[in-house]
Amino acid sequence: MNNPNIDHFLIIDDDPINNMICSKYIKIVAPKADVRSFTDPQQGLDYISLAAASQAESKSIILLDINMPILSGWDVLERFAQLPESVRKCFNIFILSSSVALEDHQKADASPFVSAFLQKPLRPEELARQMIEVSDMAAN
Amino acid sequence: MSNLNLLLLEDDVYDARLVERVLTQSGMAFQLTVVSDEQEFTEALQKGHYDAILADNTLPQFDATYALEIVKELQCTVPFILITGAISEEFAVSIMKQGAWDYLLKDRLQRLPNAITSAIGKHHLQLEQQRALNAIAESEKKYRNLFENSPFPQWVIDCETSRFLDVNITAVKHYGYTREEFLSMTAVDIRPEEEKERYLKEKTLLREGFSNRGIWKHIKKDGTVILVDISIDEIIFEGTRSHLVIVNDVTAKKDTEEKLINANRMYAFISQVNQAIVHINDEQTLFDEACRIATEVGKFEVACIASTARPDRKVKLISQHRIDCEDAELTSTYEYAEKGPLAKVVQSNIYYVINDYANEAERGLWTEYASRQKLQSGIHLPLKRGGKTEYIFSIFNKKVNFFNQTEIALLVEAAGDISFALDTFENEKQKILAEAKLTHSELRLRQAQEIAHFGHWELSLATGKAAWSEEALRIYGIPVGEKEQTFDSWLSYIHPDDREEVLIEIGKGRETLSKAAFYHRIIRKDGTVRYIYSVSDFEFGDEGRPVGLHGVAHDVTEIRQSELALLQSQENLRTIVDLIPQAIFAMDGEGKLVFANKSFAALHGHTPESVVSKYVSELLADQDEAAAHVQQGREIIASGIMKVIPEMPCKDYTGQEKIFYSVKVPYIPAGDGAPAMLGISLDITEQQVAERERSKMIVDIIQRNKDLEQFSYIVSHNLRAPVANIIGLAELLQIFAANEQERNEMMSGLSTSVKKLDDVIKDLNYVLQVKHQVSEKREKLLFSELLSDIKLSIQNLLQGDHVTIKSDFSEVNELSTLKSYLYSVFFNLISNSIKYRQREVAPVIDIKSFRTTDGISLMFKDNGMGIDLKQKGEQVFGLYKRFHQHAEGKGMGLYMVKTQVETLGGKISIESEVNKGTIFTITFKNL
Repeated sequence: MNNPNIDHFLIIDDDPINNMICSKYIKIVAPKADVRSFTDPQQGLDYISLAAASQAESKSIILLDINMPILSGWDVLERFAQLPESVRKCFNIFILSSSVALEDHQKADASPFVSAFLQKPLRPEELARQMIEVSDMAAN
Repeated sequence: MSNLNLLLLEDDVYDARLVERVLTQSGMAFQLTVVSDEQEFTEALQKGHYDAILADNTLPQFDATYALEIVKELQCTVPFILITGAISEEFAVSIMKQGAWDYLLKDRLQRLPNAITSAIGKHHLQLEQQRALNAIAESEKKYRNLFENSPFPQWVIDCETSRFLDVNITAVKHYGYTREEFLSMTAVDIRPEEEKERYLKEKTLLREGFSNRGIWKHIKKDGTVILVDISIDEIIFEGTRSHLVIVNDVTAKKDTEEKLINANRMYAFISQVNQAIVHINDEQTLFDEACRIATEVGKFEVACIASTARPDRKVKLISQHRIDCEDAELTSTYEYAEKGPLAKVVQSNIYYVINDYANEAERGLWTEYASRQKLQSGIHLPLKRGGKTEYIFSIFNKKVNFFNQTEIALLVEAAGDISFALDTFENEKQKILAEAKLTHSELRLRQAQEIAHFGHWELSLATGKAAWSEEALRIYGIPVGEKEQTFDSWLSYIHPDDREEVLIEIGKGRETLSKAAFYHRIIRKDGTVRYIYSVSDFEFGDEGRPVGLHGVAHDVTEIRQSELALLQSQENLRTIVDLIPQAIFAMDGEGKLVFANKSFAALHGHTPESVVSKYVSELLADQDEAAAHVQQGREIIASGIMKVIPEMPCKDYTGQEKIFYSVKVPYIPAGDGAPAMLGISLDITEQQVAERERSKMIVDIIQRNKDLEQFSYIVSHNLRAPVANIIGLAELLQIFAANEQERNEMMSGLSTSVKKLDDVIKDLNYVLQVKHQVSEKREKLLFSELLSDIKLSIQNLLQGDHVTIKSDFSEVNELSTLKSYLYSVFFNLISNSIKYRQREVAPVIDIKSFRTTDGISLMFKDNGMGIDLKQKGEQVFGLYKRFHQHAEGKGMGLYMVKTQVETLGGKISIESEVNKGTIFTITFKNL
């Protein structure tokens, strides 16, 4: 299950309990991974724009919640779109939400930056599957 | 609301009492009839009138679906409210689709009074709408009646295809086509060949708004061509742009007019020829006079007389009138063709008529001449001496088929008179001749009089006796033998109603010894009434004294009748125009009204007579509105293009706002013909109001549906979030080899998530209660008191945060409402203003109440951090929506405020600017 290409994880969700659960599961799937979580999306965005410079070859996965005050997951995606290509290519975004609304799924499908839509709670096997898919795509 | 009559279908006595108690507690005035099975239910519906039906869904063998079917079968529109135990979403949808107005759960009966009130309200609105629709149908029926019972043929044709869409019975009777035949034809089919092209051309013009009136020829089924005066209005008929055509058959009128003019012309012609014969003693003068009279009095184009006395076919022109110099030379002598018209006249001694030169086979000198001069008809008459043709009198006219039987008969008479004169010249027996001529000419005169309905009389002042011509006697219905009449005998025929006026006219003539002319009626012995035009003049003796009076009587009954028929038809049209519910008016470019019907005048508090000649600016209170109408009128007159205004607002004289569907067309009134604009406006105010109510209801329902969708989505999301956490943590605990600290962390997360789940469920319970419970009584409360209560309860908070609350309830301080809700609204808005204050700035809250046109408003204004409405505007009042990271909050406050305000029947709106503050405005409409 190890994937040498992906060793950075960012969790952006205002619910700290969810962030705790996620980091534990990520540790199961990728024990060596560096996991950071943000309950304030703005801080998460700041980190993204700074971290890109230091990451060089490696890829990161962002687990992004939709329903957050002030900046929603969609707002985060909009700002992400404005970042330079060199920054954006370092990140794969997975939406992680408890939403069951069809509208949210459609919106996520329409976004060029969203690689997957994951239902809460995060399932380790699902996360692993998506990670393989993402790295296969990168290889091709 | 007055005492409500309610019907309850319920077999459980306990449940029925429960319903009754809930209603009584709500303070509703009502009367409840309880029925428990199908038979009772049906009987109650048939006998009584109910404001609402409440039905239980758990009766054995008689469920609500069936009850609803009975209600529908009885065509009862009363609101039907279902009271039920547990109910599936599907069943709820299906019963609402079947026509139930509302449903509610037995364990939520508190909502019943509200549900009943709101259903009855909606029902009343529906009834109003139905009434408005009925009124429109009624007005259409009236219009239909007018159409069917009109004394004029009327029909509707499709603007594009000219196909008949509808005809009235008068048209069917008048034209002889059946209704079905009409409907299978187009307007082109009823026109004679020569007018079809004109119709197609004018149809295009009409479409562009030109000419809506005109004289046309139509063909009846039996082939008769009739002359009609038609007027056209554009209407929408069953959704199609169509023309309403009103037909007035003027054939008879035209015919009489033409006959009369012709008769007068011929009478004048023959009488002058006769006078010439009496006074003239030589041939040449007589011929010259005859030619002159033929053209000047007889209105013929050209007349000439040629001598044929020589034995060969050589002819010499000896008199002519109106032949051009060139042609006169050409025709001065010529040889006529052997078998031509002139040869035939000379040989047979009778006239020869050519009624269509263009298609005449015989080509001769006159044929050539006629085609050169565009003459279409001609007659060659023999003038005889001693029974032998010596001259030919030729007369020409520009019309085809001009010489009909009457015309020929009179001309033959005239030619005979001239022949007679030629004979008398020859005999040289001057005195006898003169007498004979006179007798003869009198005979001719008599015949001419007869043809023209022209009577003549002479009165000798010395004897008081009058000699009447035969035609005069015939006009008065007196036997032809009784030639001698007196003034008194004449007066006895005058219609009693006209006698006074006739005597005045004659008196005036006597005083001045001048000519008198007047119209009057006579009554013949057999009782028939005739209209007469009488002219009389004095005859003076050698000393200049009047010796006699002579005059003519002209029977004008037929003219008069056609005039009356015309008046009558105008009157009929006026009646129709006044009966029509649409306002019809015409206005000139200056805004002056030149025509108005009753409906238009009534709109402005006038009669049609008093409104005409007034200016639009005098009729409308709003001068800007008046100026706009005049300007529009001018544009239509200038452009010549019709304009349809689907919704034209206009105030009537009481100041009430009305909306009209208006069609305005350029229009040339009869008479002076100054260009004007004709408008037809239909009052569609009621339709519009009903339409708006309906749209409002639809918008309301859509909004509520959207709210519900949003609500269910939010709820599912917020319930799922903690559940997802619980699942995640539970699984982690199973598979993750955790140390003590990690385990504690996860257990604490588990407990937090469970608590959050419980919170959400509690919130939901609270929200749903607010949405449904309005059983609390409304009471009058003062804003000032409410505010002091709140200030007291959060005294510490206000002091600690240095909050200033300014209030102004001077304009309105009282509202009848639910105290707990309004308290919660005030509390939430004030605490929000404090919670979301700007750091470093002491909070200031302004609360103000004021009256609006249809209710009262409350305004809450603060100097807090504000909300970026451009980004989040639509979500401000959403459930679990939060806009600030640092201040704690669940995203419930504004959602609750909105829900409570709406439950109280009000509306809330927000204005806000980041770092400036927020203003909430709440509006309650007067009930």
